[in-house]
Amino acid sequence: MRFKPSLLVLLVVAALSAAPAYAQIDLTGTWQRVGQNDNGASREPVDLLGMPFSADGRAKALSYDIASLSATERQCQMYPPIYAIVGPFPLQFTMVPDPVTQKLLAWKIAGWGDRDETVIWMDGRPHPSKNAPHTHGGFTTGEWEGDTLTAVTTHFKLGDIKRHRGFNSDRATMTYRFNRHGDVLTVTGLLEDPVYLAEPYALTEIYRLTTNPNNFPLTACEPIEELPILHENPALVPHYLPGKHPAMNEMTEHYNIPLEAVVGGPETMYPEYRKKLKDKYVMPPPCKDGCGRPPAPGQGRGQGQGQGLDQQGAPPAGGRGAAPPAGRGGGRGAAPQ
Amino acid sequence: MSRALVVVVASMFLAFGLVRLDAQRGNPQPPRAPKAAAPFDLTGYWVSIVTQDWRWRMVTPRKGDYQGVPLTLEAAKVADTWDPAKDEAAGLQCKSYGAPALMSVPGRIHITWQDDNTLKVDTDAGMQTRVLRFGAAPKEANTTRTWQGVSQAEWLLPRPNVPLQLRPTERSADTPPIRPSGGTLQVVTKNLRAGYLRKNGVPYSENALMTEYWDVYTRPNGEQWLTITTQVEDPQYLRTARLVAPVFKKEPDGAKWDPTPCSSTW
Repeated sequence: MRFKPSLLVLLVVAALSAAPAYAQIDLTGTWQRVGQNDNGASREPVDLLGMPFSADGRAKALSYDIASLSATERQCQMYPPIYAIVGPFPLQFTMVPDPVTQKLLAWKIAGWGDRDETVIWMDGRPHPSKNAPHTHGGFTTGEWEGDTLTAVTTHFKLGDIKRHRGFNSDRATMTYRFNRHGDVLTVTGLLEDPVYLAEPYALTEIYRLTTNPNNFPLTACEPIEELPILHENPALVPHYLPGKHPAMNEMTEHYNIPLEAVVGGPETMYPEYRKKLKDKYVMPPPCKDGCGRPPAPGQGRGQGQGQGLDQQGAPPAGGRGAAPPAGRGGGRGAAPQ
Repeated sequence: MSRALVVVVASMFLAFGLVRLDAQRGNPQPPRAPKAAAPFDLTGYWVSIVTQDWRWRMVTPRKGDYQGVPLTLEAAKVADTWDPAKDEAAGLQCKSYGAPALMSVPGRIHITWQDDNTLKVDTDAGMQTRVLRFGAAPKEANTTRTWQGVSQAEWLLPRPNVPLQLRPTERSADTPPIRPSGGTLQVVTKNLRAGYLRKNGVPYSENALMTEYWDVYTRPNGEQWLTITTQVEDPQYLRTARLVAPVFKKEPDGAKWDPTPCSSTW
């Protein structure tokens, strides 16, 4: 019998099909943020607790006046990639198939009004040159490690990383780990920044798969006139001079937490830092208002449930167009550009 | 190509393939002990990284601060009666070091294999020990309720069979291969003694059920990070599940290990 080459091909294909399978998992769908942590919530403008800022990062954070977001040209600037973890909205995953093979080409996490979409390229393409332009969303590649998706984002812009309380530079790198456990998705984020961080900034957020994504923001940002003082004098750039932030002591006044901890730094995120606090901290009086208390029967929704701690009276996470609190910003410390 | 050679080559491919398929499908292979079957190494010293919920973890939060915890009204009433001095006097200073809260307490953990089927997790904060047993669950009726309860552990390995559509499209030749590693440690804990989710008296009941997923990430620079997704269900004191995910970083040794007894006030 004469052997046909096609048989050999079939045999080879059969053998190769038995090679170790990649362990991968489907992330498609809308994942509702559980939001039981303080990632996106803080009422005090100076709250760098546990954030591993370098001296430059701290200086940058303390010079920032949220009123600068009311400048027309800044109202629609987007948040950096870490906002996927600290922002208030769900993660909406879709699969991008290769048009020919239908295999996975990329994952896409939909953008919001103030966060660019994230496209996680899975085809092994390299990151761009260091001189390539940076975008709000950056450039992201992903790789499976077992059932875990690891994604790395580079080439994004400077932006504020926690409710206007600190910044990443445009040299930062964001690494995500997506671990799905049934209908629970845990995202671990590691932000590294040679300019503003002394150590990686690690955050986690947990999401639940939902079939009712009714709070997904679809509106686009539209600049409007917000602060008359900025409209009248477009050269003003709201900011605070070193040591002049008017809210510097609010955390200490509200929670008795020493200022040295409030301004962050890598040592504040390690357990041994508690020893430094022990003799300086006195528990403040009981909380009376906005403390996450559940609702009494018939009083509806309680505080601190659902979409994160923002429900508890903290300012909206987006902050876009938010007027500064009375007596803060809007020209205080503003200087001609 | 001679027919005989073709037959030999084809047989080798087939044999190789069948063996691999057999392994992937979980067909009979001698079971390995959990220690030997561990998909990653958890042993060693890990330090908690407190970048989240700092105000509720690094200091004792003020009474009545329940933000972030989906507690019931009944739970709030219980928490309103929190009296740390009373707890201390009653010898209950470890109430905030029970398993549902322990991994969020700032400190270091030391993980070792107690035997081939048991992981031991010691903490320096509160000097507690969690015992994570693999295999058949012990009979609860004979077990006294404790701060750390009874923990059942299981390795969750990556799925061997993957939908074709989820496989990435062809990767260029110079990119590293996809690592078929991974896996998760799942731990289910019950038989708990009632305690506090938060230092300031936010309660969980003895009927609480905790499910954890321990995921390790090794970075390209060799650093290892651990995320423990923690879900606490307690129909008595929680309206929905409590879900947090504390993070740890591996340390080279125990040089910073600092055993500190439980405290109700700090």
